[in-house]
Amino acid sequence: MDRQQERLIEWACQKVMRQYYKHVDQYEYEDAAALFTEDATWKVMGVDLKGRDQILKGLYEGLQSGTIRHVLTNTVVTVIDDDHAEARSYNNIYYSPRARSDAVEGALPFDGPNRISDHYASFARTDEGWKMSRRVGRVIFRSKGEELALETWAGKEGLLLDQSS
Amino acid sequence: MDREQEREIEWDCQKVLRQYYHHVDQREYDEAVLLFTPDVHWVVMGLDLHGREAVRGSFGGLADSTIRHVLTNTVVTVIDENNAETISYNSIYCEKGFPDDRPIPFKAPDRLGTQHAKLKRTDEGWRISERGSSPGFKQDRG
Repeated sequence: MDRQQERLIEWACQKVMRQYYKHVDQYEYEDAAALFTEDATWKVMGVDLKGRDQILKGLYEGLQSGTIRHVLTNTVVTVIDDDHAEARSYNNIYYSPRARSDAVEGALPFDGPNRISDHYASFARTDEGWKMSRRVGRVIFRSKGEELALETWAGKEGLLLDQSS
Repeated sequence: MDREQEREIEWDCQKVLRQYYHHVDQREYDEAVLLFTPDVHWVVMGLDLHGREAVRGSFGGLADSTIRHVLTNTVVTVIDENNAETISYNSIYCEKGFPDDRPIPFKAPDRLGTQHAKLKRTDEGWRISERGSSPGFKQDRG
């Protein structure tokens, strides 16, 4: 594969991740889940989910009552072959469980990012374009701020990972 | 040079900067210095260093801390087919300790600075030949 083809894949995979967070942060969970392969695995924020349906349930149960913004930076995509790629990024996460952003006027109070995570993703080319087949996130820095509702839900469902894994 | 060629250089230089910080933040220092030219000039955080080995030695200052360089707002200016310059913001999160069992508590970035870099095309690809930074904000830790 020449460098030009690699650049096109790098661009496409970055776009998938940005679309994903746009959809998640705007409560568009069906659109977000559609960016995963059917059998995707999701180990993020200490929560272990398998398959598009469980990911979709997690997004609804964990995020729909609050406000979250994923500020994705430092993305480097490594192309494996014509149909596979991997990416690593930083995720700067701002969160408030107090209200949905579309239900309040003005800005929500905050003290800064809730956490900074290392983020890894794998991609596969499908008939519908590039999709995420795996997400892994490891929280590196965490404020004493709000617990994510996603973690509370995952704990009740027995879907929490050991953070050190 | 046409705009398409410029875009390719912009893309590749951004990738080098991001790769560099991933390597530094993951303590992959040997890989990190390979993204410099052998004669790199590095003027960052009060240090004025020349050459890969000198830069490699400076990473020892990170031994007891965990650091993440959050790089944003990068603009690459293509000088010619073999030279480019960049400017970015660097939000640096740095705390003592390691996130072995649980995340490290933090409140805010340790500092926010403006970073400048010059890159050259080499036989191994684009490499950083100069790095400089301007302080912007620094957390008062008492």
